[in-house]
Amino acid sequence: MILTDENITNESFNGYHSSFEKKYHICDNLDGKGESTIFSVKEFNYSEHVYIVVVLRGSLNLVVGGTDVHMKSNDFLLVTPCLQITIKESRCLFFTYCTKAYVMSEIYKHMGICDKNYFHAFKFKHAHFTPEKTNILLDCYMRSKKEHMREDYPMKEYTLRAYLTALLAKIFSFAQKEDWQIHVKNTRYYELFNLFLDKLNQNYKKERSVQYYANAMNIAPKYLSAVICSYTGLTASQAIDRYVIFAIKQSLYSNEHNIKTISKEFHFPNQSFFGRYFKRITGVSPHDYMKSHNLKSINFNQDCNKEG
Amino acid sequence: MFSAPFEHKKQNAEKTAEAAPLTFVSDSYAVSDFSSLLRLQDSFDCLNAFSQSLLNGKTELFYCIQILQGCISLEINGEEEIVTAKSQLMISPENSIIIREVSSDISYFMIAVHPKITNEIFDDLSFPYSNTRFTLKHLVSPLSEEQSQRSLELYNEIKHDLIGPNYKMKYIYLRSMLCALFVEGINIHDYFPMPLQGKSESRLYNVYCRFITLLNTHAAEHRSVEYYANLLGISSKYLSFVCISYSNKNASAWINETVIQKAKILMQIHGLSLTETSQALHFLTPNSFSRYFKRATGMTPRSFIKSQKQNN
Repeated sequence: MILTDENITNESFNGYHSSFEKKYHICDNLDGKGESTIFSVKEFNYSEHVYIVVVLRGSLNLVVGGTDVHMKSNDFLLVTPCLQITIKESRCLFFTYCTKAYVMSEIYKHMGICDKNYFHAFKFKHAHFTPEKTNILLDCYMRSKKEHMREDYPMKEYTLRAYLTALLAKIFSFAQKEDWQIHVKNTRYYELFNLFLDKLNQNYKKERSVQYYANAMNIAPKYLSAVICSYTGLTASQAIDRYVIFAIKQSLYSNEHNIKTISKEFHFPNQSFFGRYFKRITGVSPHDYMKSHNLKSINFNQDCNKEG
Repeated sequence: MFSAPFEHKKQNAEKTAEAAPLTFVSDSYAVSDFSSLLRLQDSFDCLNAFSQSLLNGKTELFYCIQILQGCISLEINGEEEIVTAKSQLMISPENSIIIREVSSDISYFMIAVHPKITNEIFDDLSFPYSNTRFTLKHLVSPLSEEQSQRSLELYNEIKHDLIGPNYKMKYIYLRSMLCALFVEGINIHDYFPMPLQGKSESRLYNVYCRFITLLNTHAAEHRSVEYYANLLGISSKYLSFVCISYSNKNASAWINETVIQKAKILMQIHGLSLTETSQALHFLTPNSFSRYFKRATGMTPRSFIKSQKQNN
């Protein structure tokens, strides 16, 4: 079962799930009838969300991109956008946050740890925590959950964001170097993959061909694809497309919602080409995408701030 | 009036956190000592343990007081205010606060926050408010059961974390919790900013906010509407029009109110004499200050000070 960007349905989970304005999703199976629940294979294909998964008890087997990750009790996982997550047969008690990437960027900015123009993607982090730390994270989660369950009021998003910031503050304070798990299978591949990500981040606006990146790294395109596939499960061109679409979506959110400027900024030959490219990969036209995501700012005094 | 002993909870809250060596990501969030930024005080077991020391003379902090049981009678900027059970009081900086009476079955909690934190929270909430926008305000509102419960939970979490050991992002964690408490307060006091649709309306609002900000910084020196209108690049008639649209007070009324409030604080809390106050507020002579004060409040400065002393 593939859950695309637009829909996440309750039937796929026998647990609690809630989403606020498509920006803040949370999900858990803590109220389950037994201590833990078995569920079958699911794929998550959100290309612009950041995932945080915490396993309280039991074990969770996933495939993140191209890597098998086996999470045990009191484990924590953070996945940046553009990676595909597949959950295999597991038996555990867990909770997750799934937040839109631009919301996370804003939060990082307010925490003073941002790289504003660098989109972290295709990476994940896995850590072992102690039960005490996990319990603190569970408290944070329960607070967020209670807030989700409350009825809507005008500033609800700010409270949700504040609780998410609080959770991140705890996570970044807990994580010691020893806790992080390393999932590097092949160091040469890993070097090349990081080099590819750097180059992609510098040039995604202008260059979108596999040949360009293979040349820039002095390797064959097939080899580049093999490297990328081992970490993301995608071919080189798929990965580049996914990253570009992710960057385009971020711009749509921050950038005055103007398709023309974005198609210029990303060096598309013309607006029609941009529209076709977007539709080919995501399935909706840019205009429909913007409409469906109701791209109005939550910042209701935005006009005021702009002039001031 | 109350020589209530300090209760142990307050002392715990005031203890500064262990200053372990810390690495921070941003200089402005490098805090190892919270005692100047955030202070807590509470009494939940109905002992008359309300100590005024948190409030005394400290006009630069932002206060949030929630009464669970009992009641408090205070004087804020010379006006009497009674806060009863199941209500919350929020007081912005630059207000003079004196506690008159506290009932014997009082059960409450109080948070005092430094403007540094509240400014960051306002920024985060994208309020067009600067801290000074709140300056002339204090708000008292009743609470529903859920609101009271939520605020209490947030307070307990903040307290628990403040007392606990120091860790890397403690400041950010506390700030987020305070932000949630503050959003709750906005709901409680129904104190939403009042933006109107359309660009021309928001231009009005923008001018209004800037005026209030400027007022707070310059009121000690300048009392003419033309001065502020010049600073903002508009005519004085337009400035008055803006003030009336948003607050039913014209620009000179705002200016007078701010100046008088500053005068009251100087005389009452800092204990300056008439001459000193008139100099601090840049009046030509003490006489002109007395005349100004009497015209604005109805009593002379001397009788104001006397009445304050009597009440004490």
